[in-house]
Amino acid sequence: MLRLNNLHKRFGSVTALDGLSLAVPKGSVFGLLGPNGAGKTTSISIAVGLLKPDSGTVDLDSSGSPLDPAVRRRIGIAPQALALYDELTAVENLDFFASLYQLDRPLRRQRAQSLLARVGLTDRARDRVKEYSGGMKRRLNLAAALIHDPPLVLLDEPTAGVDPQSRNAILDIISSLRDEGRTVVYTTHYMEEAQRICDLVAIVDHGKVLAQGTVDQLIASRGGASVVTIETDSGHHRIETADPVAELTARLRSSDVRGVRVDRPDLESVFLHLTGRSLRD
Amino acid sequence: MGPAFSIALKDVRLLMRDRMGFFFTFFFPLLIAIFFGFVFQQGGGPAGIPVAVIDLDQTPESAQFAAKLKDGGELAVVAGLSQQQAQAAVRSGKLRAMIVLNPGFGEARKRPFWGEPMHIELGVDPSRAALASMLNGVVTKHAYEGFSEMFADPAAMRGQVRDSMDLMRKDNSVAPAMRPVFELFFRSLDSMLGSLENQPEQSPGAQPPSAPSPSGSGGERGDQATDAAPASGGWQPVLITTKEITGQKRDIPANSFALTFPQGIIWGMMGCALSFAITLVMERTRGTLIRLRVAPLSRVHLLGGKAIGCFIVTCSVAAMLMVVARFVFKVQPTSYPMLILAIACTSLCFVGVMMLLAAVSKTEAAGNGLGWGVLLLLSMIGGGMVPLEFLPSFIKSFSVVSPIRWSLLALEGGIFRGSDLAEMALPCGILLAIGSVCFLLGTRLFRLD
Repeated sequence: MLRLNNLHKRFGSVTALDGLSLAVPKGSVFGLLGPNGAGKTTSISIAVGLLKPDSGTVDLDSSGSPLDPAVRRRIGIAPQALALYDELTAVENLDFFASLYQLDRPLRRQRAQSLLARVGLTDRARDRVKEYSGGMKRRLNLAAALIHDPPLVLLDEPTAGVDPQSRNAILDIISSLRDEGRTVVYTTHYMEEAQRICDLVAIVDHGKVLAQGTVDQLIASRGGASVVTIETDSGHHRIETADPVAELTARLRSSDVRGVRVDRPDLESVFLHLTGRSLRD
Repeated sequence: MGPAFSIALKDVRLLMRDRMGFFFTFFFPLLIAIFFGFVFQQGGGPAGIPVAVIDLDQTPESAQFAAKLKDGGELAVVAGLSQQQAQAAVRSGKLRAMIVLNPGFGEARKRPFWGEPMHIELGVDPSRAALASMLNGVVTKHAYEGFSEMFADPAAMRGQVRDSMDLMRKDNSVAPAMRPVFELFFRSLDSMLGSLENQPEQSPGAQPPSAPSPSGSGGERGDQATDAAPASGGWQPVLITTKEITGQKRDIPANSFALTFPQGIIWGMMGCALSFAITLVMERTRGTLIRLRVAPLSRVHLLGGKAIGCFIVTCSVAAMLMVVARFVFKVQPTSYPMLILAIACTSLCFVGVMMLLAAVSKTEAAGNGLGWGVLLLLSMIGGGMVPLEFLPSFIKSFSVVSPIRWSLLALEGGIFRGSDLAEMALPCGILLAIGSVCFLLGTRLFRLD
């Protein structure tokens, strides 16, 4: 669906992208995971044609570059900044963004109503956005990305700064987008979110893709061993093992076991393993 | 252009929703226009109607009458001009009218009951019918006030009656049948004045005897004089005639609001330009520009939409102010097509200024500061605050670079200067040129990312 090929981009002396390449399959949720400043937003900006790469190419379904307006018509974006007009209502915001795609009025209304229901804002549809909570604005920001029914949706940190309820709602909507056959590219630095909804993940740092694959593949190949911690009369014992179940079974035969804990590797472990530092450093 | 209009309508809607922005765009300019209109009307305008008084008689009586006109308060009298100079001043619009006291004025004033009347000639632009009537009333009032004073002094009056009787007796043109009638009239008048003269002195505050009115009230007499009817029969001590002086141009405002509403329109347009410049900066700083840029829009659509929105609002502000000016403050534009042309050109100029301001402002605060700084400076040197006539000459020479100067000239051309298309070409052309340069520069410099 979307291919980023060997992208390079510099802002003055800062290298934002350093040969970044990605291949996002159709109908998947693709997570771009990395710390702030890793190059995630720059990648998204180039993918939708907001920025021109210094070198490298972007290809959307073999139909060309997103610098072409006809190609951009197939892309929806929810930017990290809440790209909404505070003085307009939710309906007016959606209607305006739909009008940019020259949809006719009945279709605009129908889409707006359907999306507001989907993001749980039907009751507040006529309220001005300035009266919304942060989570409601995030949900509306997502709805605005979908107003023209794009097959490719790019979501830049769509859950940043929202309450757990809105976060769950947003993650559920993203999962449902995949179920509809849309392709979702999703940037975040919340690894648990990526683990929950992404089919494929690329770990990015310093403008490069350090690793990509399914969550399980990455954890298996780059996450390291599981850690089994056993509490006995003589103290705590920390055991690194590739097979925590077998290790636990063997240890539980001993009579002085008071408690156990298993720490399986996750994407944080993968990032730590790849970069030597924590994702949130 | 569908998306561009969508952007324009969205911006208009946003402006309407922003109470502060709405107030400063629509009501603040109106308040400025009304406030300064009243200020100029009360204290800033001339003390009276500017007129020239030309004394061709050069007698103490004519000088006394000229002084009365000057001290009356209704007129701002300019003395010392020749008849030709005064005529030229009226024609060019520097003076509203001239009042000529013709030869024989003093003699006629001394013997009001016989001979030629005092002849006063008014020179007025025929398009100023109301002014002519008003001026006639003022001159008539002062002329008859003189007679009233005369009647208050019976001794002096008896002398004038006897002089008039002598003149009548020597006048061969009087029909023999009429002589006894006039003899009887003058003798009766003389006898009446004699009895008044012999009465004890009046107590202070008592009214003098009222002047006789041979043919009705003073008002009717004034009307006759205005019509310049020949003295054929009835008593006519004053003859006021009106001479038409066709003006080259009517570039004097009908009232102070005709001067202040163009300024109000310009302040409104400046506010609009600044508001739209800041909304464009805000699109960038708040992230909505990202969504606009991802939509299948060209740069032309995007910036064109902003320009259309700004043009719609600036024109609306001008239209709203002109409706108020016309129907509330009786400002009658001399030419609606020229006024529309002026508003369109001024709006286009401010659209260009808006685009340039948006392009050079990185943040909203910078846009606000820079915008007001530049616009106030342009307004100051362009006559938007203090009329150009009152500015030092070196500032006047700078004013050619200010669109405010040309905007005022264009708007005044349609409102009260009576400018034709040829006269509008210069200010409108300059406004369009400034607007185009600013717009092209702005669209080129504006960074979408």
